[in-house]
Amino acid sequence: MEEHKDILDKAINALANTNVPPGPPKELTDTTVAKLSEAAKNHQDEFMDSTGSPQETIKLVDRIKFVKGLIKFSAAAVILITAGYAIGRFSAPQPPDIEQLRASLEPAIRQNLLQDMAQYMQVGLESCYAQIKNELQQQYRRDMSDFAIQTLAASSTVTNQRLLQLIDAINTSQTHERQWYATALETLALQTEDQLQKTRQDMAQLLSYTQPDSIGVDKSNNLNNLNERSN
Amino acid sequence: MQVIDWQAVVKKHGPVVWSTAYRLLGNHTDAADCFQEAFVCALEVSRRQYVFNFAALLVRLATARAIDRLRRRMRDSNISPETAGCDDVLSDDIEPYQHIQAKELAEGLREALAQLPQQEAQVFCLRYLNNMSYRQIARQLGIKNSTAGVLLHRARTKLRVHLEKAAVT
Repeated sequence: MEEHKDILDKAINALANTNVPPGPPKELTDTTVAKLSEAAKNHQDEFMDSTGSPQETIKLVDRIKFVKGLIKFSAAAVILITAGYAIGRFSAPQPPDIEQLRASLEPAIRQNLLQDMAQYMQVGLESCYAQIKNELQQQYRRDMSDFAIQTLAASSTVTNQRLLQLIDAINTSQTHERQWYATALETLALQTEDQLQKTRQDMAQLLSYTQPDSIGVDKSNNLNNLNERSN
Repeated sequence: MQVIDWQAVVKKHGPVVWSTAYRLLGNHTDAADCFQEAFVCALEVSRRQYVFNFAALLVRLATARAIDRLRRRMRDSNISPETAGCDDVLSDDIEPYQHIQAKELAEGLREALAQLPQQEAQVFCLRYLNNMSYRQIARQLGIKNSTAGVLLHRARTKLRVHLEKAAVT
């Protein structure tokens, strides 16, 4: 192998170090420049039309090049799209088994749902309980206040009625008592007058039994004074 | 349209084109024809596209034309490889047998290059005879750098086999 390499390297060195005569010769250079000038002039004549303006022509080679480039670009785009589709297709995860997934997820989801519902209901009930408690307390207070007001009003009414009845009873009893006192006083006065009349008659009778004429005159004066007083 | 002073171009790049053609063809006549063909081809290329690097273009064209001429020469029995190298000049610092040996090796390599595919032969010549980089070769031939490397490797392998056979016979 080393020998082969040496042979190749030697050959390369031999060819690279080939003695090249100085050049190019001037004749060759002049000929080449003349050829190039002639070719350039011919090309310019071909390029210009009869009016001297450049012809707007597209060569077949350029068209082929353009079509080739377009084909390459299109092929690259198709390959890129196909590769992307294939990569996406093959690298995509397999579709999961829905039933198995449902069976595996359903208990956990159900449990979580129940927990959430219970928590939600508990929170709702707690809030409702507190709200209802407050409402009931307020309503109870209102009812108690109303009842107290009504009771007080009723009691005051009844008390007033009782007081009126009591006043009437007192008045009635006082009237009766006055009447009774009046009757009693009249009775007493009558009895007293009767007793006084009787006493007077007794006194007169007595005086008539025992008293002289003088004395009788004084006594009759006294009796007159007594009658006047009694009247 | 690119305006080119062809006289200046020929004067500036003529020596490189000449040495490239002569080195590959080994005789004055073929080198002169190749020289003219290379410049005419460059003119055609300059009509189709803008030429940024005339040196590289001319070297590539000269190499391609020289390889074509080598193929034609190998097919044509009237011109033998021995007569093709009659213009060689002996150098003073090497012995005659070394000169003969180098000449034989160079002719063997020319024969082998003539049997290579066009692109492989071009890549080989541009790399080893004109010291172009892979990037320059790829740009000139319109291929990728990696493709240039692959073509060069294939060319070396085929040339080595051909030279081995020639050495055995």
